[in-house]
Amino acid sequence: MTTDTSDSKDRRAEEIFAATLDMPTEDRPAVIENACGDDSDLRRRVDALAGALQRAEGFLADATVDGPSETEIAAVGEKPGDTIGRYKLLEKIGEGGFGVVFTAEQQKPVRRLVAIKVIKLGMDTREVVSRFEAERQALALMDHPNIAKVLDAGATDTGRPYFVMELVRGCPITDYADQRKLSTVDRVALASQVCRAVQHAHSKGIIHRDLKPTNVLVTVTDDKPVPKVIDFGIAKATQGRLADHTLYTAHRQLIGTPQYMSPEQADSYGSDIDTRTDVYSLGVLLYELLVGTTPFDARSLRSAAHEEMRRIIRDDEVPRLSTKLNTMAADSLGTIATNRSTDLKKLNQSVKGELDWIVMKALEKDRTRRYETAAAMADDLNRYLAGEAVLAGPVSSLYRLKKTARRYRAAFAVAAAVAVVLLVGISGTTWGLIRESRLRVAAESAEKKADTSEKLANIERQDALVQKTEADRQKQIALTSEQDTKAKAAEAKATLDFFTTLLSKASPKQTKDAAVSQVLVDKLIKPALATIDSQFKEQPLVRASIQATLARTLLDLGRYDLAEQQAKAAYDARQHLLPADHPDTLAALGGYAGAIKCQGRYAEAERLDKQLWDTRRRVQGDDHPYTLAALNNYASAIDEQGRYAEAEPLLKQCWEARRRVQGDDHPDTLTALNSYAVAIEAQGRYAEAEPLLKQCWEARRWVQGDDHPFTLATLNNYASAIDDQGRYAEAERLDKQLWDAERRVQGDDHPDTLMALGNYANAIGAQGRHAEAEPLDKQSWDACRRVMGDDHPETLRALKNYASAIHAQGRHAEAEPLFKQCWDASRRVMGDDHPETLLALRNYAAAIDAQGRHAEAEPLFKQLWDARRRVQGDDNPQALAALNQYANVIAAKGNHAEAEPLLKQCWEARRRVQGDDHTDTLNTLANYAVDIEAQGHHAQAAPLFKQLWDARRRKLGDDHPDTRWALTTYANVLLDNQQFADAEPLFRQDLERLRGLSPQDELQEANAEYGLGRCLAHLGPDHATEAESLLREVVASRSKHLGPHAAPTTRSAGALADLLDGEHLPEAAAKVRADAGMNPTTAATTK
Amino acid sequence: MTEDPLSAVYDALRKLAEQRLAAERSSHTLQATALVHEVYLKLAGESPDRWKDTAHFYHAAAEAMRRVLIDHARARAQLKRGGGRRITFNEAVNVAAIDDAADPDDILALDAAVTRLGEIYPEIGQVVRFRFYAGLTVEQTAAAMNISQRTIKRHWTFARAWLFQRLCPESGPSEK
Repeated sequence: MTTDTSDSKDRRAEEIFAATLDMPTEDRPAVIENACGDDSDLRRRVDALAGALQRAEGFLADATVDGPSETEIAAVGEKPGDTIGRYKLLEKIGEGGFGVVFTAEQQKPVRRLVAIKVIKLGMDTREVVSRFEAERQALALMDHPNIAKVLDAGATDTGRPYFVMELVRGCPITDYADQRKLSTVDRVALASQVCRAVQHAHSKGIIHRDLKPTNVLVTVTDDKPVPKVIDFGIAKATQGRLADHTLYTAHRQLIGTPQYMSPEQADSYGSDIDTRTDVYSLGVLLYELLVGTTPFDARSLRSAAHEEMRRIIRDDEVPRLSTKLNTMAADSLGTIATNRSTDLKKLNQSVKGELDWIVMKALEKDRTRRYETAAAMADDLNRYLAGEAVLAGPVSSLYRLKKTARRYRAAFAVAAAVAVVLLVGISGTTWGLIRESRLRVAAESAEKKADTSEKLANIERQDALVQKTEADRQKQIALTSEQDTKAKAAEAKATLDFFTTLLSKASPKQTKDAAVSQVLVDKLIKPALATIDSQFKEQPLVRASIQATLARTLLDLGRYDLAEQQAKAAYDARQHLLPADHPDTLAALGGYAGAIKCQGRYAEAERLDKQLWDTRRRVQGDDHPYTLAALNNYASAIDEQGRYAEAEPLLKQCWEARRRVQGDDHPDTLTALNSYAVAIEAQGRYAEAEPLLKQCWEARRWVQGDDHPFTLATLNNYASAIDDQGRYAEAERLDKQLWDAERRVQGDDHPDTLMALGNYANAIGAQGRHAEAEPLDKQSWDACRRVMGDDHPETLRALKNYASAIHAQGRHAEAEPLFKQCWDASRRVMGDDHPETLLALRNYAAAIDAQGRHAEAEPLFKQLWDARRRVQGDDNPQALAALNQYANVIAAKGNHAEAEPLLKQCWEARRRVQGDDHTDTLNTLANYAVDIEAQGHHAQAAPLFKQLWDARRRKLGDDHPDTRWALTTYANVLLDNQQFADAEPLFRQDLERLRGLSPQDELQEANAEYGLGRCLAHLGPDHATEAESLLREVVASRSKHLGPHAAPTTRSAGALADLLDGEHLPEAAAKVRADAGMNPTTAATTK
Repeated sequence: MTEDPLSAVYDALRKLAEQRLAAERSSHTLQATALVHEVYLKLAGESPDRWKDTAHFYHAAAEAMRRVLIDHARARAQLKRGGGRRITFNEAVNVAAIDDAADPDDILALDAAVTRLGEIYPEIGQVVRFRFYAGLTVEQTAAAMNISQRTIKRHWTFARAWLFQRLCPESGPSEK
């Protein structure tokens, strides 16, 4: 058989099939038979098409649904006796904001009673019906004794949507429970049944969205209560357009009932709903069953303005059951207790503890903290009934519970993945059908072992395809290989679809817990790797796509090394088999680069990212989102290597392009903004970066939510910018907020969490609370080593912080080898000039310097300064800090003249770059002034100290130790410069404040008195008396505290004796000298 | 179109996208607005003068939607998550996926099949592009193509059968 005849036969078959489409179904077989004659092959082809049409129910049906005409007829209320479709209305049994409910009789195909709900006008009937149609198949799969079936839907003659349901004769669950005076235990049992019913619907992919007592009716069968959940699928159909705010406002009664509405429902206008929304509503239902009222009462919600209502639901704390009971009016309380066949005290006791916990867990604002499923909630209720410990717990023991809850979630993620895959297989949508068919084909062909002929046919088909489209050959190659691969590997892929779906579903946040991902990797992934390798030898492209999926999963699980292996294999295969600019090849390249980058090998990643960017620019144009993503990655790789100035313009380019192409608040745009701001921050322009990061953080909170990983990453950067500007207390608060969020969202051991911990510890340390920071830093370093390995840049950062905390507590000898280890590793991993390497060098040098080994430290500081100037520029604050340290170490060796020009240069640059009053600038000024003073240039030093003192008074206040140091030093410099009249008031001022201190520091006082006394001694005979008494006090105080012969004591005694000599009291002077152990006749020359 | 051709285009696209997405079954990560934005961007580069009439516009919209859907399907094969580790973002392509339930391969396979159908039967292929990618109703498709609704329905039925047979053969590939 040649392709030509096969093709032409197909065309002929299609022609025959098309001709039958206009005929009544019953006429078709005869026409087909006639047209095909004896050609059984042709007949088979026509039949295949006809069969496909039969089987295609639901396929592409969801693309569009053509309802009745758009013009809606004016409202005419349906009434008993009217006929809607096949249904005759009998009796009105309910009416609400949504519409009217009737009992009705169905005549065909079976006679039965049903309930019909006719929705009020004002909705787009066609949309309602089409949304219902979209879910109809899933609804049909629901089969549960506690769920009322939705049988049909359509539009009335007047254009209103209606729903036909199984008729349930019963009353709302809360009413039933009150009428029968059910006890708490009976109520819990009833609620558990409802949870199971809802779970059944969830397992079929149906979310109710509007669970409330009036949608849970209780009938009595064999004297047993049977709850039935009604209206499944209706809320979805009638609420589908809630993303549209106008509709929301115009028909707010349709959105569900505020008391039972989950926070995400109130917030997202129905666009972000999942099964946990129903869990919340079940929580409210249980709440009401137990204490007779909903957490937020209907009246206050209804009276609240729209936004206020949303706020209450979203933010207000749900009162515990027991708390709620305590706040209710006495008379209603009596009724509530009576309705539960109990008294108030017992009721209060029965809901305290476990039931409180269960309800509160179902009502968590954050849905990730609720019961994951309705079944889990039912299980907990049953545990309560059986007297076992429930999973939900009091909030106080949160820490332990959170850990188990996380594991539990991960296990569920896997279970959910299985459910999702099964569900897709049977849900009858377009994609489901395709997949289902594949699985079936796979099974059949495996039995038949018809491989060879299939392959042949496929190759023939592909050949024909290629021949036909010579013109667009390049495109076709890709297409062909995709189809070819698909056909050949249908069997194999179907099997693995399941597996990969399971993995990709299991991989998100739920599995951040290191222990869980360890299990996933060891038990599921690693064994699969070998299988994949061997099983797909013949289908390298299929293998590549599986490997790409695995790589993604492994990245999510934080197993970067394994991820790289898989990503590389996928890339190699695609590069080999597909065109270089094929989308799959490029995707694989991006994945490979990403895996490398995650391991900190930025230089390697940079090369690949550059290649990707270049290719994408060529193939997709400069402004394509993928091109921009590649640009962002490329620039980030440069940035990660510390070449910030090089990265900055690229990142800016990326941000600007995205604002233009994707809009200001698009997540991608915000990613670019973040990276751009960070590059600025990294160059020391913190004040410039801060507002950009704040803008980015706020936009992300708004667009992506408070706990989104990117929001948190930007918060981290924002906190860093504040930290870098020395506002540590502010930074500490943000860092703590970040650490808490990361622990909650990603788990204790996640790299982001560890980084947040490190920063938090840092901010604490920066405020001088080093002892508090040290254990946090140690914890961070240990975890980083465990999670990321010894040489990972983050691990080194943690090591640096830990060593710094030790160093800051004065244990320099202990810190030194840690700093050395950090520097060596940084040089090896990141290169000599990387900022982190330089930081490590600085710390190492500082630890040596602090032990008095200045000569050893000096060349290290010089090396640091040179590198910083080279990498970051002369005026970079860090370069200036290096210069300052270098100059200080020279001064510490006693080479003050050599240090002076360096310090002057540093001070001037800092005034220019960081401002006159910046802490760093003032510290350099202090160093500079001291250096000049140390050379004996008092006159030159005095105005500098004056300037320092003034600035610190302004900035820090009079009482700050640094201000006091400036004052004392300044006064002494004036004294040394013989400016006694100028120095006197300063010493007085200092002395006054010292005397005001409690407890008093007598030595400090003595120092000030010594200075003041000497000033007075030089100010003439009028001051001699005061000078003498001051100096006597100094001698007494120093003698008492330091000993009578200590140098300071003798120095002050000398000054006193000199004074007495000047007063012509040689005997007294001699006595003072003698007491101090000095030669009584030698006048000391004191300063 | 109206005084401000671009905003009119935008409105029209938004309607189309809602139609298209409202018809889908499960939760979408690709919201109507996002879809419109992307389609709009793809079209905005072209002069609005080019759309001589509604049919022309639908044509352009269908093609643009197709490209968006296909691009998204392709993107699914790439890294979805832009991991925000440390300070900068090691970003992959974080474009929203179309539908978590839809295997991107399925979408691509369907697209390839539609392309093939259009090669053999251009008019039917066009019907599918309008109906499936642009989400037009039978009425709109008929108006845009200037053929009867009856014919559109027949083409649509034929296309569904043909595509389904191609994508989901009863047992093994049909062409033996």
